[in-house]
Amino acid sequence: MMETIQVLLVVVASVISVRFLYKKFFPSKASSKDCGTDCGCH
Amino acid sequence: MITLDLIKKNQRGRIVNIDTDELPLKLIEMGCLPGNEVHLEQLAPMKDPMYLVIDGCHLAIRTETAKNITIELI
Amino acid sequence: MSKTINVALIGNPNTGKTSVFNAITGLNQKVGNYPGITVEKKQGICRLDRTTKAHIIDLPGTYSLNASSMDESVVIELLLNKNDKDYPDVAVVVSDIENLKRNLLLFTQIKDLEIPTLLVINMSDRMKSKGISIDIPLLEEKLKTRICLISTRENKGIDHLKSILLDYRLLSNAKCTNIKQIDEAYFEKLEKVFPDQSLYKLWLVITQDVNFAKLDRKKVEDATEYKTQSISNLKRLQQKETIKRYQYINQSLKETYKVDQSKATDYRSRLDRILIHRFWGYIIFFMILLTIFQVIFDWSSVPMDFIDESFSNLSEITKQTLPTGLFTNLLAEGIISGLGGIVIFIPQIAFLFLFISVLEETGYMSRVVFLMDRGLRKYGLSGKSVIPLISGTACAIPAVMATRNIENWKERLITILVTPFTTCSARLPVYLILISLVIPEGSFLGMGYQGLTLMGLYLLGFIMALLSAALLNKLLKIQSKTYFVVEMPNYKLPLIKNVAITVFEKTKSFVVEAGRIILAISILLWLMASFGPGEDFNNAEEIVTNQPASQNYTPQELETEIASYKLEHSFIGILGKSIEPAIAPLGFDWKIGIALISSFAAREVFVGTLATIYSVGNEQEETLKNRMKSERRPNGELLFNLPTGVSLMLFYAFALQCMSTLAIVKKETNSWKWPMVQLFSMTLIAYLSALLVYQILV
Repeated sequence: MMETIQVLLVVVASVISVRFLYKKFFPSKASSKDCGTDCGCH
Repeated sequence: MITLDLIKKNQRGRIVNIDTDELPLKLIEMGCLPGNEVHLEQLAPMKDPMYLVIDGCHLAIRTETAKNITIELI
Repeated sequence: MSKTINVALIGNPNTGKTSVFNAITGLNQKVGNYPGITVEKKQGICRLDRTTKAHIIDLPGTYSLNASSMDESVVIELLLNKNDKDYPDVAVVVSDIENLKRNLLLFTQIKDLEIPTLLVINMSDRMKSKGISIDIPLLEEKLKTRICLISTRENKGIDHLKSILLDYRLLSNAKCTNIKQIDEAYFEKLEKVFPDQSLYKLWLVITQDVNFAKLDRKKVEDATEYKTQSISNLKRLQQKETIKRYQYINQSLKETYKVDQSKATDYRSRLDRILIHRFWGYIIFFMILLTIFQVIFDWSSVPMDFIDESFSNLSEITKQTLPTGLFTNLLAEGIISGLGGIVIFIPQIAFLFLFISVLEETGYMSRVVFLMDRGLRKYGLSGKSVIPLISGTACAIPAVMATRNIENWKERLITILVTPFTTCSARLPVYLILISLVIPEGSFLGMGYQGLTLMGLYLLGFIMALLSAALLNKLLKIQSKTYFVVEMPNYKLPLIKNVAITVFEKTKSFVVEAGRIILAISILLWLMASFGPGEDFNNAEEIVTNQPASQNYTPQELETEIASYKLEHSFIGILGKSIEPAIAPLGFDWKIGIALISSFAAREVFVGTLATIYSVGNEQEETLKNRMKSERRPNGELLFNLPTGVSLMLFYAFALQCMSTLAIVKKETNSWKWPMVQLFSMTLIAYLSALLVYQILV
C-alpha cells in the first residue's frame, strides 16, 4: 500500500515537472502583440 | 553667435536657433528651445559628452547633437 | 458598499514617483507585466476610508506623452483607451520641486486629455535648502487643479493626497492649452471629419508611432488621410506645441514659484566635480565596483555555509523520519538538494540587488553613463549601455529590457547582443563553488585570492562584452541616427524603504522564477538518474558483487561501488557518457556533462544538478562541496583540480546557457535571428577558450 502511494506521488511529481517545463519554454501561443514600428525594430 | 558645442566653462549663452529636424523631440521637450538660457556644467574627457544646464534642467548630450543648436553668448 | 477608484501615477523619471507609490500602498503591491510585452506593471491597493479603496497603478516614468520607447507607449495607450479596465478615474502627476517647470509639461498634456488630474509636488523637504517658495493656492488656480505638497522622505502630505483622492469628483478636468492654436487651419479640417473626438487625442494618434492595438484602429487609419503633413512638418508642429505649453507654464509659475539663489546650497556641483572628474571619477567608479565584489563574497559566506549545512541535515532527517520508498528518495535526493542549490544564493543575490538599487537611487548611475559614453562609443555602444551592463550582473533579462532607453537602434542591438557576457547572478553559484574548490585561500594586498578571482571573472565578462561589441560594430551595417539625451538628476540619499522593497521584490522573483525551473529539473534529473535501461542497470548489484575486485571491499565500499555503477548505467549516465568525447578535451567528465546539459535551461541549475547526481544512492549526507572535493577521475586524480576548475569557469563565463535570455532577446529584437547568432557564437567562444586553457594548464 505504502509503496503504491509513493510510486503514485513520484509519477504525479514528474508529470507536473514536465508540464511546467514544457509550458515555460514552449509557450502555447506566441505573443500576439508585436511592437509598433518604432521599437524592437528600432 | 556660435554653436553650442563650442561653449566654454563659465560662459553663459542664450539659445537662438535649433535645427528641428536633427534634434530629438525629447531634448526640445526638456527645454531646449530658442530664448532659453544655457551654460556648461562639465565636460567629460575628450570634451564629449557635455553636461549642460538648459533652462534649469541638468542634462548631458553629445557634441554632435550640440552642433545643431546655435547660441549667443551673454 | 465599498467601491474602488482607479488611480494612475504618472511622472517624469527621477521624481520619486515610485517612492510615492510605496508610501501610499506600503507592501500592498504587486509587480507583473503588461500582457504581451515585458514592461513592468506595478499596481497596489490603498484604503482611502472605510468604504473606498484606490487601485493604484504606477505607470513607467516618461517625460512627455510623445512616446519614444515601449515603456512610454504603455502610458499613452492606457490614457487613450477608455475601455481599459485600468483606465484611471483620476490621474496623479508626480513632479519634483526642483524641476517643476519641466515636470509640468507632462502635466499639461495629461490635463488636455480631460482626465481629472491632481498634481503632487514631491521632495518638498528640499524647498528650504534650495531657497524655493511656492504660492500653492494661486498655482492651483492657474493650473486648474489641486496640488499636494509631499515629502516621502519625511512622510508628509500622504494623508492630504488620500483626502484629495477621496474627493476626486471635485477635481477639474478643464484643459490647459488649446491644441488648435498651433495650426488653426489644419485642426479645423481635422475637427470637421471627427466632430466628436477630442482634438488633442487625435493629434496624439496622428503623431505617435506607437501601437494602438486597443484603440479603434479604423479610426486611426481613416485619420491618416489627414496626415497630409510631412514628418518634418509634424515635428515642427510638435515643437510649436511644446513652446505653447511652456508659455502657459511660465505664465503660471511667474508669480507662484520663486527661487532665492542666495539661500540655495548646492552640493550637487561640488559632488559632480569629484564624481565625474576626468581622473578621479574613474578611480572612484572602479573602487565602488571593487568594494561591491569583495562584499558579495565576504558577507555572504557565513549565511551560505549555514544554508548548505541545513539542507544536507534536512535531507538526512527526511530520509530517517519518512517511511522508506520511492517518493521519500525523490524528496531527499532530488527535491531538497535541488532546492538547496537555489536557496543558498539568496544572500548574494540580495546583496547584488541592494548595491544596484542604491547606485540607481542616489543618482550616481547617470554619472557613470556620462563618464563612460565616449569610451564606449568606440565599441559601438552608448553611455547608456552601462546600465544594462551593470544590471546584467544581476540578470540578463532585466538588463536586456533596460536597453530600451538607448535611442539609437544599432547601439541598442549591440548592447542586447553583448549583455549576456556580463556575469549574471546565475553564474555566481557556479563560480563560487568552483573558486572555493580550486583557488587557494591566501590573500594579496588585503584582497583574498578567491575574491580577486571572482573580480577577475567579472572583468573578463565585461572585456569580452566590449571586444564582441567592437567586432559587431564593424560587422553590422545599420545606419541610424544617434540621439543621446541623459538627465542628470540631483543626488539624493536612498530611501531605505524603497531599497528594501526593490531588493525584496527582485530577490523574490528571482528565487521563485529560477526556483521553479530548478525544482522541476531536479525532479526529472533524479528520475533519470534513478532508473535505467537494460541489464547493466537492473542487475547492478549482482554484476558489481561478482567482480573479482569486489571481494576485498568492505560492505560500505561495496555499496558506494554499486551506487556509482548504477548511476553510470542510468538514463542520465548514458546521456552524459554520450557527450563525454566532445567535452573530455576540456577536462570535463560525464557527470559534468550532465550538468552542462541541464544548465542550458538556466546556469544556476549546474550546482543543483551536481548536488542531485552526487546524492543519488549516497547514504552519508555530506555537503556538496565536500563531495565535489573528493570526486576523482578513474585514474585516481582529483576531478576538480585547477585546470578543470578554470576551464569550467571559462565555459560558464562565455556560454549562453539561459533559455530565458534567448526568449527575451527574441522578444526585444522581434526575430529569432539575433538570439540564434548569440547562442552559436557564444557557445563556440566558450568551447574554444575552455579547450585552450585546459590544454595549456594540464
